[in-house]
Amino acid sequence: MRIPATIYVEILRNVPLLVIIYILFYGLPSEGVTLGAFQCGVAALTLNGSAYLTEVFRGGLGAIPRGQTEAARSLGLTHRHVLGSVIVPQLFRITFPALGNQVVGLILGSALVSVIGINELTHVSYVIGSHTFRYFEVFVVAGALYLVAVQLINRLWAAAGRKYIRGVTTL
Amino acid sequence: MTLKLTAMALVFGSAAGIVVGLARASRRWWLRLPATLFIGTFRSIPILLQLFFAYYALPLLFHIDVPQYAAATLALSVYCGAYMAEVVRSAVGAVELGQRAGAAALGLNRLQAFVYVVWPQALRVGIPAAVGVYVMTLKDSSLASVIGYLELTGTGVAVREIDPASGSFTVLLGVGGIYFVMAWIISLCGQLLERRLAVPGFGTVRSRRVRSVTTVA
Amino acid sequence: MDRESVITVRNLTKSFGATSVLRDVSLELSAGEVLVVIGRSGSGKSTLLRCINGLEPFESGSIVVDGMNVNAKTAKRSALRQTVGMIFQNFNLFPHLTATQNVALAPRKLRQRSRAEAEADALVLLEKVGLAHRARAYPAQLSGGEQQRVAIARALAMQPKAMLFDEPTSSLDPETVGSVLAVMRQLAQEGMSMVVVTHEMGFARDVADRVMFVDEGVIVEEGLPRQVLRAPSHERTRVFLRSILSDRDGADAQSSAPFEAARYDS
Repeated sequence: MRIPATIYVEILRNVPLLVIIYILFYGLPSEGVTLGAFQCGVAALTLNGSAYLTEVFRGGLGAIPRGQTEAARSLGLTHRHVLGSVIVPQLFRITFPALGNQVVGLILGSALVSVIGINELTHVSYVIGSHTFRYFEVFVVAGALYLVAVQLINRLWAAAGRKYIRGVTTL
Repeated sequence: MTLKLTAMALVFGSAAGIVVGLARASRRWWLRLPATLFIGTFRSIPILLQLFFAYYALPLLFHIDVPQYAAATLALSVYCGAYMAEVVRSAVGAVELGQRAGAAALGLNRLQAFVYVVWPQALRVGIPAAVGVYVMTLKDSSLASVIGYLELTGTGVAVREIDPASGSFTVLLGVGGIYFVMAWIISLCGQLLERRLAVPGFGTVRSRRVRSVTTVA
Repeated sequence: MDRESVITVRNLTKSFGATSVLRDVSLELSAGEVLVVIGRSGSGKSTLLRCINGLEPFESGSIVVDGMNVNAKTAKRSALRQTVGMIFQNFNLFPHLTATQNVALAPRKLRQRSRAEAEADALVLLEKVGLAHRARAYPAQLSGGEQQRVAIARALAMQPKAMLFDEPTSSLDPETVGSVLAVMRQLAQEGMSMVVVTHEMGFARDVADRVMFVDEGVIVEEGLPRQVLRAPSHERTRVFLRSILSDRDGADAQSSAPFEAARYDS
């Protein structure tokens, strides 16, 4: 089971997001599968993000000592209990900061879907810019919006982490 | 094309990254503040937007013509630099934490401590992260195609324009494959470098990976 | 007097790959008995414990705990492990839960206790090990000795018929060792069946009903504490005890005298 998963992760991590978007949007139709722009965008971002998340969780799992499972099993807890009450909560706490980075990455990555025409911030700013030729102002504003959004998320995420996560050291 | 762009960006980016990263870690606020702003800005804005800015907005501002290649290199270098700066900063920070006392005890001044003790270790510690940034830069070089620069991705898409009947799926898959190989090579080089520079016993967290959490009987 | 046997191990053989760790080991633990196992690192004593509660598979032999065969299908493992509790050298408390929550977790999930009930019971157990005042602390905030006592309370929450202790005090500062041993002593007095792997000879001498010396996967000697510790019949036992005692200078000055005498025994 490890091999297919590794292949999945490695492929999606080493191929540019843009190329994935193009494959889904321009490539699939020639094979008979046509997806809407929005669907392509979501699919591409999901595929890409999932590969990185897998790595984050893998690292997190590695940071959990084997003794945790042993102790839980020794109490008689079943596989389901061990995962749900002991491993996953610790995993979440350990990977919390890294998960925040993934969220930010998603926001920044979403800008790329503008190449297939989705009306997101970058695309809109480009369109306005091309109509008014005020590229500078438009892009500065768009950049500022992204900046504020990202910084806000970073700070809120970190604050939430400090407030709610206790007892487990994070990655 | 792709390689040239990426290579340039990596070189400039790494150089800038080291400078800015160290500035960010500095005790002098007039170094730290601009560095922090630089890093924060260019890591919070999508690379695509930065590219657009370099290609469309800068020429208007400075009344010069900026060729696609130059815009792409500039934007990519700055982007790479911001991320490299983070890598440098955290690597140096991680090492300094433990080593400062030891170096001081030996009577080294701050500069000596840095050059002989901190930097060599930071170099090793930062390799995995740096490789990550390099691969990211390589992948984001594909965006240059959006502003018309004919690199790998651009060529792949152009094929479709020229010959609509061609199996663009296969072509694009091929494009993806080539990136995959290039990224893989970079990662491999990184691992080789790590091994070459490795000091026995100086393990990173990765060397103690628990195989599986769920195989207790 | 034939007391019921809580743990019966027969002809247990276990290898890790090519290395043989346990060779044809047999032992029996009666209800209320305290068996202390001593031996060098790597002699197989930890592995023995881990085979008993199913954490390690074994090649041949049989282990029966309270009527349950350890080699039976996995489905029964939960029941097995609820019957015999285990205390680890590095405590293995769940770091994301408070002391109370650590103790209450298993009863809530396995005995269908409500949160209030389980936590109330947990508090009683924490009181028993002397840590009621730290009920809401997280493991990171507790000292090693406190963590281990919470671990004992956690194991007791499942009302096991027997408890296995794998070097419970080896990771502790000398000052806190006493607090944990005191709890173990109390458990023994209350009639808990225990198998304790330890280097604490004082504990073995005072609390054990039987002492067993294991070396290189084989039980070398077994018997009453007085016999094994003060007048061992095997040379290997003597060598081991001497090495232990020389580590702790003057810790047990009393017992060193009989060893001089023992050397002349057959």
